[in-house]
Amino acid sequence: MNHDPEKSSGEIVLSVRDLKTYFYLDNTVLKAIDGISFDLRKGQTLCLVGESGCGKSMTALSLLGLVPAPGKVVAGSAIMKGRDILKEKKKNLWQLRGKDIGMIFQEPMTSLNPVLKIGYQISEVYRIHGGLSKDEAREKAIEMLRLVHIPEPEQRYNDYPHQLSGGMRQRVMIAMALACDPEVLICDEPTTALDVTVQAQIMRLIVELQQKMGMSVLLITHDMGVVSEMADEIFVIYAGRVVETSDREGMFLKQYHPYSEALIRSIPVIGDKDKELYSIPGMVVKLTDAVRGCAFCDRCPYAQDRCREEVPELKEVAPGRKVACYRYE
Amino acid sequence: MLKYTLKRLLQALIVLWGVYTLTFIVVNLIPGDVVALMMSRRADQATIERIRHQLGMDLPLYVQYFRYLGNVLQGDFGNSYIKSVPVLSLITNGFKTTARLGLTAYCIAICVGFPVGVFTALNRGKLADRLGIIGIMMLVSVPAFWLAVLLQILFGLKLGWLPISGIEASTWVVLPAMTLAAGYAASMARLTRTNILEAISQDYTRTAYAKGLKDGKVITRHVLKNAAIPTVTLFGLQLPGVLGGAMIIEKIFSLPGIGTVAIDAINNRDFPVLQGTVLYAASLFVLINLAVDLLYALLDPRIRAGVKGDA
Amino acid sequence: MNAFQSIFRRGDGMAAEQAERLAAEQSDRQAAAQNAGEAANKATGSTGANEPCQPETKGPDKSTEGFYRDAFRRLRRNPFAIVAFIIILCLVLAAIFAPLLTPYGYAEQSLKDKWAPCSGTHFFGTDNLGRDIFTRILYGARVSLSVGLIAEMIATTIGVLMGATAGYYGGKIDVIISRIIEVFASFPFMLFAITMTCVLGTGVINCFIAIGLIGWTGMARLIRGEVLRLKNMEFVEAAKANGSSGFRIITKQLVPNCLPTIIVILTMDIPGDILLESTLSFLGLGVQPPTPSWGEMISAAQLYLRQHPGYSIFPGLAIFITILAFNILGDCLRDAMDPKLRR
Repeated sequence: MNHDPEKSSGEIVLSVRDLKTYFYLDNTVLKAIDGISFDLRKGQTLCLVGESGCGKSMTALSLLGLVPAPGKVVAGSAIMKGRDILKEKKKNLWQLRGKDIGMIFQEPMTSLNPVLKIGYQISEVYRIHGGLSKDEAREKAIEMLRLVHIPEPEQRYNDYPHQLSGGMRQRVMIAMALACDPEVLICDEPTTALDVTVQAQIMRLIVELQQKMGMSVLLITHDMGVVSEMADEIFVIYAGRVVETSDREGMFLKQYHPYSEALIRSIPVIGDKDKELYSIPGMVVKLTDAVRGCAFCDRCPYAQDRCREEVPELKEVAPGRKVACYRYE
Repeated sequence: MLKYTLKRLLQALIVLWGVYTLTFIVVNLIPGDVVALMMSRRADQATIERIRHQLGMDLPLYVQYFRYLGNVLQGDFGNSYIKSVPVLSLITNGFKTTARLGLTAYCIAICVGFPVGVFTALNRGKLADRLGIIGIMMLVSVPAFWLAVLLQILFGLKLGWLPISGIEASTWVVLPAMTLAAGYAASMARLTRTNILEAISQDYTRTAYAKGLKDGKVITRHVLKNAAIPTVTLFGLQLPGVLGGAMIIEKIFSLPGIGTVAIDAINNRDFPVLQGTVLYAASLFVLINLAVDLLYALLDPRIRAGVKGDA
Repeated sequence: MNAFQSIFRRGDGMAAEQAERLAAEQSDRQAAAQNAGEAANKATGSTGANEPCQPETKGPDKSTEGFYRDAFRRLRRNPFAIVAFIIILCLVLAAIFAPLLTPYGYAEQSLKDKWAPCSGTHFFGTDNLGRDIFTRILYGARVSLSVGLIAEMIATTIGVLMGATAGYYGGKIDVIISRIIEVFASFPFMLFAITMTCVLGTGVINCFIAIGLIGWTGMARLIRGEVLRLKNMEFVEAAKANGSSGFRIITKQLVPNCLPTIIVILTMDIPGDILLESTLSFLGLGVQPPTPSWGEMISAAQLYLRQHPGYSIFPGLAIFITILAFNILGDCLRDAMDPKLRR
């Protein structure tokens, strides 16, 4: 897949500004997301990459209003079709979910209801949003199953989730998410729980459907391999903040932020038998009130004093590249 | 499914055999010369020997074991020492009363417990939930026999609305059933609440919301259906407890159920009756548990449909 | 501990099998998810730095100080737990220091004072033989609490041993032990207890034994479930690789990790034991007069129902409050130790 220059200038489908989601725990406030902004354009795939500290997934859940207590979206806007979906009333959110924005989750086994037939779970979407009758919904669901390449969809319709393999379940999730042709598909680590061969199949399926249906994809992952295949734009997230942005090729050619550097370096190269696997020293820091300055500085080989005092801002360092690091100031 | 049924059936039979053995052991551990105790030392040695021989008690223990087993399998639990009637008839007569009391209490418990459980689960954290939990806690902690006495005082003596003993009056079952149901209703409410909350916290509930389903549909279609499976089976497993509890209530309200039969048997040293009663009750429990297990397998598609698993 | 284990044990013995089966199922699923996740990670070459928040393969380390400190902190902050604990403490102190708290003996009769109402000299009044009710309640606490504790110790010991052995060794041993558990659990508690007192005779010690012998099945089932879940974890494999014997593994590794479960179940079973003792005494099969027992006092109250209906109030309240306090404490303990709440 080549980098399509058109995609970076397309119409903006979802515009997120300064999203902040905090968790109010007993003694502390955990800042899962502390000011993330991005623009998702039509037909584009935007990847949010980084280690899991449960920050990236929160972006997706924040957009859909599914942040579990004691978390709360405290600031920010997300403009879609002219409305700020973060300000939407709880009781109206259902119109947006599944219809304008579809989402697939990491664990297809637990994300599907074990006691309901998978076909039914897909039909449901048509019945809520399209008002279709039972039979009409069934027809469309079977069509959808075919679209995601599930063999013998009429028979499979009556299966339960536990009767399907992991890959098939994820296809069912995709079918459910895309049933109503949403503008945006959010994928939260869609392949992490799958076998590696199946991973490739699922990624290819998403790309194929994207080309067919024209939706934008917000892909959340820690897997640089997936990123290298699918991303049009890459946002590197660390501890709830964006630390670097790039297009796909640029990121793999040169990284600006030390964290991105480390991420790329830790991808093992086949053939390098003798080298030790690189892993970033230290652990992800949880963004609680006590942290000042750049969240990465404890693990950063280039840390300066300034890094500990103030949070660096995201600034353009090269055409199409932004980074939040004092090394470039 | 069939394989599972057969397996459970076989297990149940083994357990039944174990129950029989344990009962036999325990009853035969009761110290003292049984016959002499029964006869209250009124008879002389010769009579005692004669009775022993008649009852087959002079045979070695293992012979008695198999003999009794054989009889039981044919429905013969022996005769009561005291009343000279077949034990089985005492049990079945007693069981009518116990069953009526137990099942009534059971139904009340479900009809009260389940809705309360659902309500508190759905209103978690709010005042209604907190009150509900406190109420549940308190009811669960009240000793049934005390509650019985209190209710007897209130409804029987002070208000005079309901009978407090015997089964003559047509409303005899009300007070005992209410007493018995109280604790179980609370316990069932708790079970329901826990299972519903568990289902709500699952990933598939999140998916349901992410699809655009509203609260009502999420709860009824997704949550309840999942929560129902363990709840229904756990309810089923409460039934033996209810029947067991009925036995104590019977004494307080002077009802002629199995409990009274058993307690009288103990006081009178009427061992065949005691043995028969324990055996009967325990076997009943095993069968109920078997039924519940099969019910669970039937309800849960993961067990019912089996795992086919393919790519 | 999953939600299915949050049920009352007395009379619910069989439900624990349900709970344990569901817990085992869940652990299978978790294990499958773990394996899939691990395989994916190894294959794609994701490094430790990029690994997502995975279910720990080492298992929540329940034997660390940190865990208990966290749990204790959560407990301390819970007002219900504090109140319940204070109540239990008062009961224990009252039981221990009974002679100091009252001038009367529990068997001291004073027929001219019978059925005295509550007063300064007789806080709860007197009974049909002129015995001070307050005194009898205090001494009754001794019986109830000691039975609750000791019987529960017996039941716990049997239950943990049986459950852990069944869970760890699996196979035929598991099948046999599970059947034994089912057999014991099938007995209606009452009848079994009553029969046991026939066998053993009445009196306090026999009460301990009888109740202990019945009540272990719930604990056994749940411990078996826990051990099943734990035995596939890395720390057990490590111990095996070190050459530890099965017994060592059970006692040194598995049981300590089950300790939170044990503590919670223990606390939640004690009220059931106390209730059982009261019921036995109520039926005249437990502690024998003149030793006071709350259950026996209520039984006596039944005889005087019409003339002195209030007689049953104090012993009943005593049982109720004791059981309530233990139930609340057990509940709070369970919440405090639930690893899911741990951040």
